[in-house]
Amino acid sequence: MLNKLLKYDVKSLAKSLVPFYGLVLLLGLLVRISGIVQEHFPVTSFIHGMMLIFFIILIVAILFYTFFISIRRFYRNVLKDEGYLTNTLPVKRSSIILSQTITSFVFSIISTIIMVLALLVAFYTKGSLSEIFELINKLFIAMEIEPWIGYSYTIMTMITGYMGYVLIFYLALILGHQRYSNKIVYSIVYGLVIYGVLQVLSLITVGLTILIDPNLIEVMNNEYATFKDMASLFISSGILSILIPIGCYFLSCKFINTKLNLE
Amino acid sequence: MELVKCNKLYKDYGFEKVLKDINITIPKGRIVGLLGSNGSGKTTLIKLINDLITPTKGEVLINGEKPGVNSKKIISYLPERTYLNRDMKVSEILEYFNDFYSDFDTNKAIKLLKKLNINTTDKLKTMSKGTKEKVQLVLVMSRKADLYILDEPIGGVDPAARDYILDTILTNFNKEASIIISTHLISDIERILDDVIFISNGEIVLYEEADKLRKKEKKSIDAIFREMFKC
Amino acid sequence: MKIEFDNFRPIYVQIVEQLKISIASGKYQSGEQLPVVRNLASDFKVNPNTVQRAFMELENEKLVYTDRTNGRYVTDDKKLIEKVKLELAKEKIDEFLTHMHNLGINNKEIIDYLKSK
Repeated sequence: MLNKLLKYDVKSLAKSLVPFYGLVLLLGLLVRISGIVQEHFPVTSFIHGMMLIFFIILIVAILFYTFFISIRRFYRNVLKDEGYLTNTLPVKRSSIILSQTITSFVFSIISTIIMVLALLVAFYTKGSLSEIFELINKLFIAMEIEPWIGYSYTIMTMITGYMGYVLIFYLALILGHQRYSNKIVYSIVYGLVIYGVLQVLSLITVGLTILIDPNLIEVMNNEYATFKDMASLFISSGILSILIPIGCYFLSCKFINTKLNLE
Repeated sequence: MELVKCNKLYKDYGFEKVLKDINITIPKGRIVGLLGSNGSGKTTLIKLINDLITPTKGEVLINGEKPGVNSKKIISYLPERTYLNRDMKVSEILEYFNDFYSDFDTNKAIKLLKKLNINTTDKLKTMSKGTKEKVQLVLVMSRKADLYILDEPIGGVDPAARDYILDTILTNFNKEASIIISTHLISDIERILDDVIFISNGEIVLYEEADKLRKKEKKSIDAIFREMFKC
Repeated sequence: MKIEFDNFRPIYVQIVEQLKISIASGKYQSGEQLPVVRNLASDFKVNPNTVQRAFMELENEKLVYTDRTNGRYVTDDKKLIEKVKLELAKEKIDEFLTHMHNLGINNKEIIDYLKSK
């Protein structure tokens, strides 16, 4: 049954996002073309400039838009009128949430790929890619981080950060929805509460990390400290960033069973 | 085993007691009218059976089990709302139902829709509210379920549509199944009911065979209801 | 078949009456198979169980019988059908007479009127 839920969740998000992807890639192409054109006809440079502006806006927007579409789909499909169908399907509620989560994740990856692709289409020149990687590698080495650790950690926190926000929104919407009026207002309130709780958890994490690695206090006061010295903090906050989306997922599953209140 | 059994069922919304001490049993093979005015608790009871809300006290059992994946397999529910994804075409929604419900009869649904001049290529977005409601009814009745629950199926439709709806219900339900029809428009449907349940202020006031009630009171169910609740 | 049923009398009783009229008038002949429950329920726009109950009543009165294949047939007992026809007619006439008497018309006036027809 999960596969079937995935099928329809993916279809639905694709319908909203694929046109946007097309637009971004098209604009990337137009940036490249107008760039070439303006080299031969400098008078057209303002067109290139405009394309560039639109392109940058879309590139910045792509992940926000993906996030927005994911949350909107969840809200409409599970908590609004469509919820009467979704919640009476012969599937576990946790499968419903899992399917939405997986779909959000998949499209965040796809959107990132599209974003990179569009940037390559617009700006790639021979060797520019390896230049970029060299630069990043140098940066990591300067910070005394193994490049592979640097890449993995960054990617991991980006993913868990995005999914964390997705699941926080899911949870806040579910909790806010149990009210009879002002559901959105309550969702925002619950969202802020969750955010507050997470801040507290972060502090606790730092505290626990200091207990385990007392050197940290010295390190944090030392302006010559390196990332290596703070490794324990990175590890513990990395663990927290993984636990947050997982925790929100399980809480969402629990509350959707007990607190569902369709209009 | 009874199809639906409510034991000492209570539901509160905050401090408001919406359902109080519901103890009813609905057997197989009956068309039951759940009759009450708006706010009487009808929809709450239906939501409890459909696992859309949870009881405050007591339990509701479907074929002896608490509502869950198994009960949803055998319940075909038509809510008051339009619950279809507006971005879908008819063919997509048919595929959807076929994917999730093993008892869905796609060919039957297509036939019924054709009679309404609805094609599988039609988009839900372009349909009027009335047409969308008919599509939902067709989808619900094209399942071979054990329990059909129709919440206000004829509210706000013209007489021709109402006749179509009643006719669809009568000719398409399976004899081993039961149908619960919840409505406040009693005179329009009382003729097709086996049993009637009167619910008021969250309590079951009456649960009787329709014809028995008529014989006893020498009145229509609608008249009996109006008198009882002095609308 | 456009039949108007009252909602204030048991529906099955009214169906029994309706079927008796159909049998007495010859609409359903002796030995002929009656429509199945489902179709009759759809035509009358009533609950199939109600039609079932009406059939059972008719079976109790021996107007209708069920054969091995669960089909329902009108009885071969033509005398019984005549009897039912007469009973129905008497009922209707008695009803009619009550109405006339309520209007203040007596039996002699009725007979005269009938003779003139």
